[in-house]
Amino acid sequence: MSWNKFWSTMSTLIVYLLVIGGAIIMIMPFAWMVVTSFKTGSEIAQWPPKWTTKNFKSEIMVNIKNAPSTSLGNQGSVSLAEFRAKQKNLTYDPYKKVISIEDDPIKRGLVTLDFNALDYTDNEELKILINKIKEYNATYHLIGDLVNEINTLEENPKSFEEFYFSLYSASNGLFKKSQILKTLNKEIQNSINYIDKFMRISLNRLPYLKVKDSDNSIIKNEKLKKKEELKNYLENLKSELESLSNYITENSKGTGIISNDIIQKIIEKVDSIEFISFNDMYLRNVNRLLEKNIYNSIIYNKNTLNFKIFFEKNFKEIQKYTPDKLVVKFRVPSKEVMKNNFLVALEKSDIPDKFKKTINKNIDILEIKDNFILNIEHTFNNSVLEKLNIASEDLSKSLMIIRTLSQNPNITPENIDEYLNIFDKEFITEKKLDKNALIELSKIRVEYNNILESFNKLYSDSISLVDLIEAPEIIDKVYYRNYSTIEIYFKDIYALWFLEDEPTMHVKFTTSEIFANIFQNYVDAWHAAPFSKYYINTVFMATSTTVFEIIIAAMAAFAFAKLEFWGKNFLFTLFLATMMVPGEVMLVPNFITISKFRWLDTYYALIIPWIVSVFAIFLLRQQFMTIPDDLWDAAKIDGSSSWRFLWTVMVPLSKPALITGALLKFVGSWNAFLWVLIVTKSPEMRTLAVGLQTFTTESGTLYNLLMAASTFSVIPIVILFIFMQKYFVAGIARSGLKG
Amino acid sequence: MPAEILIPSIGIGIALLLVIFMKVSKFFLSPHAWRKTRESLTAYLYILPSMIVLSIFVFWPIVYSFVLSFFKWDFKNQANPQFIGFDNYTQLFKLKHPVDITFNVAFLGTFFIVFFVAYLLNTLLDSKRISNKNIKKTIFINTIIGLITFLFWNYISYQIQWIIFLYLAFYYVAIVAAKKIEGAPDKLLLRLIIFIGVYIVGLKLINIPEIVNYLSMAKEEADFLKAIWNTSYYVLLSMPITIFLSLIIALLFYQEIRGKVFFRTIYFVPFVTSVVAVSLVWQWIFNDNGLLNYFLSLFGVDKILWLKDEKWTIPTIAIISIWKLVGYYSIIFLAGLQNIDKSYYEAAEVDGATTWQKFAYITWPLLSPTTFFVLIVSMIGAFKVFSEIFVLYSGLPGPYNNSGLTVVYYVFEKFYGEQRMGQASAAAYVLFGIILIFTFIQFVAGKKRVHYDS
Repeated sequence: MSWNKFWSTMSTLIVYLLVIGGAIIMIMPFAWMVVTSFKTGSEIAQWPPKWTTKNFKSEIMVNIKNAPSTSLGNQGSVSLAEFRAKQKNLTYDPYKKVISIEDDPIKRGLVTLDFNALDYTDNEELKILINKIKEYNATYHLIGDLVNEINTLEENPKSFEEFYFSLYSASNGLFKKSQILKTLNKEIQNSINYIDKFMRISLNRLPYLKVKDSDNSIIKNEKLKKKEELKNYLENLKSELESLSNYITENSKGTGIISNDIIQKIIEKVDSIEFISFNDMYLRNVNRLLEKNIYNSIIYNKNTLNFKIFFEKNFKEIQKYTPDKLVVKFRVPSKEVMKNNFLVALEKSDIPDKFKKTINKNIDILEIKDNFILNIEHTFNNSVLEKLNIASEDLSKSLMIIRTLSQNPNITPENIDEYLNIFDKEFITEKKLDKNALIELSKIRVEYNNILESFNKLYSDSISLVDLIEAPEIIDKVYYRNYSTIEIYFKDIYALWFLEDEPTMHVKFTTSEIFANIFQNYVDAWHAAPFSKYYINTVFMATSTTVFEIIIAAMAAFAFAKLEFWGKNFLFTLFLATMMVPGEVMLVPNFITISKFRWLDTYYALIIPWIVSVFAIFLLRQQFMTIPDDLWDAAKIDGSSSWRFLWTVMVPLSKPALITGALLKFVGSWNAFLWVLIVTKSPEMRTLAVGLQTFTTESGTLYNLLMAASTFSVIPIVILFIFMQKYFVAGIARSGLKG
Repeated sequence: MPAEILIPSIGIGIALLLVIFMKVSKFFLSPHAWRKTRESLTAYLYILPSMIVLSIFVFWPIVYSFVLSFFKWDFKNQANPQFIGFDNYTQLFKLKHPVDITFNVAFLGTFFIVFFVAYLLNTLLDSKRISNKNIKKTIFINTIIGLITFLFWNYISYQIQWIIFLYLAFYYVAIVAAKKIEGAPDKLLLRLIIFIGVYIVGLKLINIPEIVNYLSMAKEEADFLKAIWNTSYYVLLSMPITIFLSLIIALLFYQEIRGKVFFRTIYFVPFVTSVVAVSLVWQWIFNDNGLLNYFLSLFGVDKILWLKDEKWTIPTIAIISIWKLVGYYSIIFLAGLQNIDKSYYEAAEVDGATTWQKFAYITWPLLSPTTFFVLIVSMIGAFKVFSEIFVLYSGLPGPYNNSGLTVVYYVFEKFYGEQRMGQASAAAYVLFGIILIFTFIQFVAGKKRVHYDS
């Protein structure tokens, strides 16, 4: 008995295990879809894949890096005009320190920059530092690259910054660990190779060691002894160099700038090697060869490594002031704050009123700039069309000519030809363009360019200026641009003193900000394609198809179930037979029909072909058949019309079948793909399924956005299904039972 | 007049005519006959909307597509389609370069083996079912002829191969048509094994050229053959697994378990979600650095290039569709299971039947109508696979070499990509024909095997 019980428990357990295991497999893709949709861009390429994301965290560390103050940083997509304006804005500012975020953009939260040090000194002392560097260069032999850098170093902050980054840039700096060690190792290998070659060939050919017939035995012995001595020395040197080379190879792994510890160890090793300079009359001659081919390159490299320590020591020592605190804290400005700041700045600015007025204050801050630029270009194009009196197809060519002219301020109608190429001249003659008008327009162009430029600066500065919550007094202001770079301006202190001060950055989020982080991809995806339009289309199409289908199917089902008429069986069989034909057979002719009707790219094409479903007619007919004929007879005797009977008696009685039919249709048209793909061309007519598919080709591998879009496109149907699943299951079970 | 006004107008016109006819006929007919006429006309009014839409978008296209398939109609001569007979159909099967064996030879080889095995089986297994002694003797002699031909196939000239084949085929068809073999065949599995065994021997040892061999070479020379090959591969791969898994799931759900509705929802959700979204999710899972490769790496399996390797294209699509469809078919199976009378099980329990016996002798036979239905529906569905491929490979038929080209994709490509309406229609009709044939075969086979619960 207990055996039986045991077995039945076991089998129940196995059933549960299988059901739950299967359910996990079934739900896994959806779970992965939702998890991915919460991830940041950098997390989707992670291996191994993780089921969590940093968007769930309330505090994150952010990867940052000091950047040259003239780097453009990550700009996203910019228009040509914008790009030009940006390049112009890149004038060097000695008081600006740039930190670039080498991570996902931080769009909200409380940013904290922790500096381990912010030492500085008087700006004049730069001179002293540079002198020390030059002095070092004069004293010691360094490798060629470094010598070049030092020679080009001038006594100004910009040059010093360039010098610094040429040494310390993480991507191609001279002191990049892998790079400098590779150079060093190569030199050592060359030396080893030279020793090999020397011992194999040169050693026996050196004239001053060669035993000549004329030599007496003492000299002979002496020479042989010296030769042996040299040989031993070289072998010893070779083995020491090899051990050095191995040490370097072992330590050259990893990225970033080489650490002083390793430098110190390498220098120790190099110093422990004895670079002998021979004094005796025989071997004296070999010194030059050894120096040239072995010693020098290694020693230059050693000096170069030493220079790093020297430079850092001096750079640090010279900075004698320390600020009151080492923390910078600010909140990433929200869009509302950006907009307010922008509008305030705009009021104060010298942008002409006629353009100020065109700015629509109600739109999103990120669109204001595009709108403004478009507006200016539009105004300009209009004035070109008007002044030159040309057709719109000649506009782009004329604009090019005007742009060329606008780059040369000294143009007069007389010398205009000098600035134009032959095609431009031909074009001007052919279209009979007024040269004075062209020059006038080029002046306007310059003016507009200036406006664009100042607008861009105004816009960019006003939306990225942050309110500092906490900062050392030496900091003047901080800009947070494009969610990807932080610019710190110091009060009359060269930013170069802070070049070596690399802060750590962490960001804290409030609960609502975490929520916003998690759903950031949803917002981005929603704006990346006209998904609101897709949603409206899909809902409209699915709803109207369903409503029409139910009305029409109920009518036909009523006729087939309750009325007698000539050809009833034939028609019903004909209807059912069409269910056998695959829809693909009708694809081509239906497309031709739709295009003949001129219905392509209209709602008609999406709806009308699908408002009749033979399956629904069949389903409802079976349901109507179960309603007793007596009811229909009674209604007829009472004088009810068949129409009224259908809608007041039959339909309410057949609710479950109706709901089933309606749901299947609704879901079917919500998910319809091939037909919609074929009959829609413009984005305005696309449904979610096709919209999502085109979105994939546009967004490529941004799977976090794609998964967000997928999630919000399936959610309505999943919710509908969860609440209505009884009817779905009934409908599907019924379709199987007719067998 | 635009169609959106014209069509309703015609509809209203017909409806008006019917109503007028109804009113007028009242004066000419006896009350009884008029009532009948009125009912008929009312019914026609009710069917009218369905009829109009079906005529335009179903009946007409079926006919028109058939007609189109005999016309050359592409982007070059859109104004005047020209009649070209069966050219569209032959074009589908035309090879770019000839392959080692011709279709005729392969056809002959394959069907010869089929008939040879038929004779062999009759001699080995069916002697009880043949009462006529002469026929028994002839069948035995024919089997010997078949065996000799089979063994020395490559030494016999092509003409004689044909003659022997035709003789064997006609004789067999004749005795089957005359119903000289009585009763239904038994031991189907054994027969299948013998058939496959002989087929493999013929293919590998004797080198009889046959149709699969031919197709595997020809598919690289004609896109449509490739499409048929891929589709068949997909059907053969996905259909049995889908049916097997969904039956298992249905059997699990048939047990008394808690949270049945919850689990059913989970299993069924993939079916209601859009193919596009689902395919995107799977594209992400099948990614080189995706979730699936990660799970496989836990078991020490190297990365599989699911979406980039030609040989994984069809399995990839099959995995998606199996996942999407098991819930759907398991619900149909579950309905079938619930339809089985419980008293059978009670009787079996009284007799002390084991779980397996109950399944093999009650559940499986009584479930056969449902299985039969699922078989047809899933096969038809599998033949029409398209959207998954379109989304998974971003609008291309597979990563390269048309490895994901299916018949529907072929139709879509011909019609939408190349605007060859005639060829697209012909291809669609071939698909229709294939589906019809398979449905018919399953229907005939099923009729003999399916047990209907009385």
